[in-house]
Amino acid sequence: MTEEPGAIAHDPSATLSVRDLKVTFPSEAGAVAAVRGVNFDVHPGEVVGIVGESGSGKSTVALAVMGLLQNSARVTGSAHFKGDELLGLEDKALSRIRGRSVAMVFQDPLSAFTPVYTIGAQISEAIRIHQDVTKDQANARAIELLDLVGIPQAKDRIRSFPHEFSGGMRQRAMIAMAIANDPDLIIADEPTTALDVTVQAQILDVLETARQATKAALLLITHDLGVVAGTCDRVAVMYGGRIVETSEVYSVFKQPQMPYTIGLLGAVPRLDSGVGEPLVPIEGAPPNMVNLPDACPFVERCPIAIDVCREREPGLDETLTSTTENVHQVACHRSNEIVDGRIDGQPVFALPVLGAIEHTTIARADREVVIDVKDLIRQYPVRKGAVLSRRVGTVYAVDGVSFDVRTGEALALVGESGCGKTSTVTEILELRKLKGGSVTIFGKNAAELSKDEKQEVRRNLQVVFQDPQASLDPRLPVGDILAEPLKTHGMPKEEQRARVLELLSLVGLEATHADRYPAEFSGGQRQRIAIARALALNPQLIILDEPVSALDVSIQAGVLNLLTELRARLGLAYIFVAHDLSVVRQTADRVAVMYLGRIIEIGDTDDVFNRPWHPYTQALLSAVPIPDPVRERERHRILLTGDQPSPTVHYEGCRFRSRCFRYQALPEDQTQDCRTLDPSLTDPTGHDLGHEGTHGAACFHIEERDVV
Amino acid sequence: MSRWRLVWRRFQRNKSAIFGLVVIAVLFVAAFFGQFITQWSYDQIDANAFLKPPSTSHWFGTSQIGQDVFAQTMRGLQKSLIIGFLVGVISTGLAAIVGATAGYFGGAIERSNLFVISLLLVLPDFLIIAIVSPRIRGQSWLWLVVLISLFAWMLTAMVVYNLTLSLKQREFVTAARFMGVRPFTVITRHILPNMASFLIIDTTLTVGGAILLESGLSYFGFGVQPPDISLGTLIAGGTGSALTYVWLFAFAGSILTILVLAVSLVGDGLRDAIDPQSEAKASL
Repeated sequence: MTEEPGAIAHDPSATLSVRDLKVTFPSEAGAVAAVRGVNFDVHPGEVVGIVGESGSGKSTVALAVMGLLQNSARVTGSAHFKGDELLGLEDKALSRIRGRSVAMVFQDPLSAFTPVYTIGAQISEAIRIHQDVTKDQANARAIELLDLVGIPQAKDRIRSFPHEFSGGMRQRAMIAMAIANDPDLIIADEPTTALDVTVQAQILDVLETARQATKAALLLITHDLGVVAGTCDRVAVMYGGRIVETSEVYSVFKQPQMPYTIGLLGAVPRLDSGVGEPLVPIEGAPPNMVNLPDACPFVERCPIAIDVCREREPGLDETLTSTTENVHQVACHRSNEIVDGRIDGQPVFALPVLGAIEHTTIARADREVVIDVKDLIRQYPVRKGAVLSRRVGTVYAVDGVSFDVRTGEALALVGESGCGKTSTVTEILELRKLKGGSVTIFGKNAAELSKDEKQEVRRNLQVVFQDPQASLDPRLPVGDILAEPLKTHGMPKEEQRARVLELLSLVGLEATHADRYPAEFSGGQRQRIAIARALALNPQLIILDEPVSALDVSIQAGVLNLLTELRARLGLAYIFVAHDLSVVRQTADRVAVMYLGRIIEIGDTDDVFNRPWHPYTQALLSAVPIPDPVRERERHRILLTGDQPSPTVHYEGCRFRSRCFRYQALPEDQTQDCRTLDPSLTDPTGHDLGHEGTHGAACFHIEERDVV
Repeated sequence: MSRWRLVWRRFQRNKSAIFGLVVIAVLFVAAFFGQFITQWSYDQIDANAFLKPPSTSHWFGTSQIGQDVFAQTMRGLQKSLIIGFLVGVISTGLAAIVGATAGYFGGAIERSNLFVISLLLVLPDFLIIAIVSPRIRGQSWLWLVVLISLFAWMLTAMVVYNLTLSLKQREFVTAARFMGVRPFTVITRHILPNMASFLIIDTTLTVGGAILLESGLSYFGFGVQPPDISLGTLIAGGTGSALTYVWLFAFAGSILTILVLAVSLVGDGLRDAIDPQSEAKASL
């Protein structure tokens, strides 16, 4: 590897020292410069975070260092691991280092294990490749490791196959495998992205345990600023294939000096902010990494860009506040003018002004009920056998869910994966005969609609799905996609075009976009198109199924603001399904927390977030990281034990009992109710919560607790 | 559409596919316009030339009764091409309808469609056509197209059925359903267009197969009947003298081989160009 003139020398004391790393991929459109000159050091025992949105090149950096990129990628620069060059090493030589001195934890633990071997066999294989031990010794060590990462009954579970483990347990096993050979460096690439928040909290905890057990340095690659705030010593923010800001974690969060970092911090929905506070979106989309001009990659989205930003790409230079102990580097021409996120006394990103919601003046009880769901049940059969399939059990996906939504109201259904939130809304959308319970929509029973009535309900009930890429037909131009609901519900052809253009401007797109195809848009724009389609027929109720979880933070903020604004302007009602509690905080009026097919707590957003009653809600809220290192490190996290139990069994008593910290702390004589009775939604005095009541939890021992 | 521009660019990179495309184009032009560049027509008899080898007057020579072999071959090629492409379009269309309705509606429609598919799959197509064809003797050759199509669509339909099952789960189909769009509109607007690439490739490959099947049938006298001519009947007529009067047999035979080869090359090229799995071969 040749070093360019002017390149900074490697830091000899660092565990990993990367200098001028560049990665280029071939593509039909031309060479994609995924990583464009990245320098960083990871010192022994240190936790370094690389944050960035999709396409920023953060994962490519890790894969390049490990030599795991596809062959067509061109990698230049240099990466020293304890003084030895890694780049350009033969695969054989690299394999000796990988797994032994440098371990990697991947995002998807299912594909990281071979499905045909047991977890134990794979861990002991990893040990025996690098260490000269017998099979029995390796096996004993594997049990020891699984025990360390918190897998119960490790002795028995070692014989399990990967598919028998839940996602969280697989990630634990992955970490056990990573630390099997006592590595000096662990590279974790989005280790918790595929997991639920309570499991994420457990895994971050395990990662910390593992790090302390091995004294290894950790390179954590993530998109989640909250995770960074809680775990990292130093952080590097990546954008457009380069590091644009790097420093010790407290200064990046407190004194960000790159507009992108400032924008990102403003765009993250936070658990500790007030209801209805607008987020700060970063307009535009990340740059196309083909043929980048010599300009700041952020210039098109930067509110404070000046001429020089378009003429020359800024280098990563030390700021005025940088000291020898705490080097703070920023790639921005104007970084030294920025103090406390402000420039000339004005915030870099101005807070958007959103319309106020009119309905808030009318009492909830006086507003019309849009949808009333009572004791909804949804079950799936579990079948066995391929030829003669027979029913061997039932998944109780939705097990008695009741709620109502009134005009102009946004109800959020939150919960971890498998809690039945999506099943609840699809059951509503199907408008069919129910297994149990009733859905009254716009005053009519959904199960007894005639064909015409059904079409009428469909007109007023629209849906926006999670992944805008999947929910828009790739073969239709945007104009046709938006015209589809109009055509279906009989709008004359002449009027369709005008309405399409109106819808485009409503969601902040341009008229010329009507003739383009979905593939030509960014994720955020596609979600705007999906929202426009849902609005086409002026519906009363829109069901939003995880509408922003597939989007990057900076884009997510714009979509969330749009949703809030549309609701205010058009008087819509929303059912907002989400797994991310912080997203809900800004958007919803009311929150229903689901666990194992049942709502376990419901109430106004402020009540549920500030005064959670149910122990599960408390654990869930405490597990959501807050993107502020000072606050985040002061918080007490309630760690739940184990995973969500199987929904194929009907549990006697409280369904949360098996993981409940309050139940475990109760004296024996007070647990009778928890074990035998199924709790209904009540307030702390035990009064049943009718539809008039605003806040209720399904717990016999309601106890308020501040967890945010 | 930018996607198809991309496909076209990738297709162009495939030299043999481009070669196939050029060959098909040349054969098409020759089949339909060949009669205008020679003075002989396929049913004309040159009383001065019986069984003459290729010459400047008769490019492919003449037959036992003085017919111009070039004119006849072009006429036969024309028929074979029409039959091949008609079968390709009809059978793929049939497969699309049967497969997509089975996959989308499920229930009784699914069971009955799949039953028909399985039934037709186990019947020996060549034999059945051979048995049925005497009954349609004297009627239009279009019946032959119908017969061949009837036995060429089942495998395609199975693939369409499975593709539909997975497309049905896609959110844009669900979105359309929840919007109140009618089922047949969903199929024609969202499901079939999204397997267009497969249908196009399949049509191309079926064309090759249909031309071969037609030639085989005609060779044994079950296919195209006189006075119509196809490559199959020409080859049948020429076999007897394949070693003595080579031109009677060789031209029709080689054109058939080249045609089917070219169609297959184009089909393979299309598949490679459309298939997203194929690794990016662009160089830096």
